[in-house]
Amino acid sequence: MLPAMRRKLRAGVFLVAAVVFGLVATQTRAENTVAEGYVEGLIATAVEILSDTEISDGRRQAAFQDFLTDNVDMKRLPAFLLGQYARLPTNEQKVDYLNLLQEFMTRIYLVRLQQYADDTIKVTGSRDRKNGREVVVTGTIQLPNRAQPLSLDWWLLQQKQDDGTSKFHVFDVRVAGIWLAQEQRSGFVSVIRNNQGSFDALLRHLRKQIDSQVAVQAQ
Amino acid sequence: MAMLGKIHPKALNLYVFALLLVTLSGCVGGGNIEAASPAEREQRIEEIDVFEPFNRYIFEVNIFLDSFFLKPVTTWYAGIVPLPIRRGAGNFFENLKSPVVLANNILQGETDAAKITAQRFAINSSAGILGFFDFADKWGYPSQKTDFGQTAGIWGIPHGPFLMLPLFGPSSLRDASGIAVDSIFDPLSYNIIDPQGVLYILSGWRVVNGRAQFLGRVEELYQTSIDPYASVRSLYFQSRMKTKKPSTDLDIDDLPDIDGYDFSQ
Repeated sequence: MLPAMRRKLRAGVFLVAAVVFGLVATQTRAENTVAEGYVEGLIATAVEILSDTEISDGRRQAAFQDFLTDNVDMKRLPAFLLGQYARLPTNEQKVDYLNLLQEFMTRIYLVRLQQYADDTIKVTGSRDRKNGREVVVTGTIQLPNRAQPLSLDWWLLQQKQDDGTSKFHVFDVRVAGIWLAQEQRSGFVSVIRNNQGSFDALLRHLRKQIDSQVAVQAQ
Repeated sequence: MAMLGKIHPKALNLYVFALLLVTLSGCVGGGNIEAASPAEREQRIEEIDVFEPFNRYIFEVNIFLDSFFLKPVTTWYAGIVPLPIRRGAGNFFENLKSPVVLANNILQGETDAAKITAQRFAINSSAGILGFFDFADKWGYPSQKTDFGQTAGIWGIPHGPFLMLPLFGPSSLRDASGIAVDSIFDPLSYNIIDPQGVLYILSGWRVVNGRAQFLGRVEELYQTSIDPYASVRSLYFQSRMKTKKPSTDLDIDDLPDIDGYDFSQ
């Protein structure tokens, strides 16, 4: 009797484990599908904004800024871009920095992404990190001057909203093996370091870069 | 040995010098970025840029030379040579570098990669008409591109100081030495093509065709980066980070931990 009970118990444990594992796997997969769908939605919206020929440049920029504000992580990313200097700015400098950063990002990514608006972007999969709090969605982009597509990945963070629901935000994007936020961070850190740790120097550089973008776009 | 006999005598000195530099990179150390945690990497990269003022000067010289010579030539070339031919030329030059890739696959102990490289070379040189068409990739033999800088990395030799090389661009002491070592296996380094002028034309064509892929990128970098030099340095090390796998392979465990960064606190 005892061995039979043991067998039944083992079978029961196995069944429960299989069900639990199956549920977890299904849930993880479901989260990934949500992340992939979120990125596909992002691509569709970005392409719509960038390729709309009937709106003025000013309206396109405003629409793109709203798009970035809604979808880019502005909690962790601004601090990450400062690297070891993340605790350097005063509260006033933080406010200036966030405003400048938003405008800077709008202008530079408008320039960068407009070149890719007509190219084919595909989402190919996703991988969870930190129990699904972070997801990396993988994909490809086919550029006209290259025979092979380039890899294109989105690093997403899942954040709780004020109403208790969760929403994905983009933390970084990786094109052909290069993380763009990490590239920008090198520039930000380098400017502060080469100006004897002055945060105002970074703010000046950001303003200068925005002004030169304005001048280029006005031409 | 017969092939070695055709190497330019000065080239042999260059190879010996290159090997000495690789050894020196190992002795200098400090640039073992691959072994650093993602959080430490940024600081390590800054630490190994010991010649930063000089590197920045060379960077500006390179930008100047590019904008006054290489870019105009490339713009003209891209204007008259249709995209499919430029792509084909890119495939041809990649196929020509197969001996370099094969040698490094073997030196890295990557026998499967070496097999694929040999198969790619056989398929593309024949069915692909001297490599102009990359049929091998379509048939399941993807490029295994690598170089001696990466081989030295796998052997545990650190980068050494970051270098901005005149004309060649961003590099490190280890990777710069690798360029010279790789040229041992590069068919375009040998006087095997007669007349020799053809060799120079092919070498020039390779440079211009390669630059054509990046037309507009330099301007974009200046427009979108607050420190283009630091951006190029970051791009270089990000693309060289993976020594064994191609840099496009994504390892999610290798991403930096960002939990400590929060501006809302």
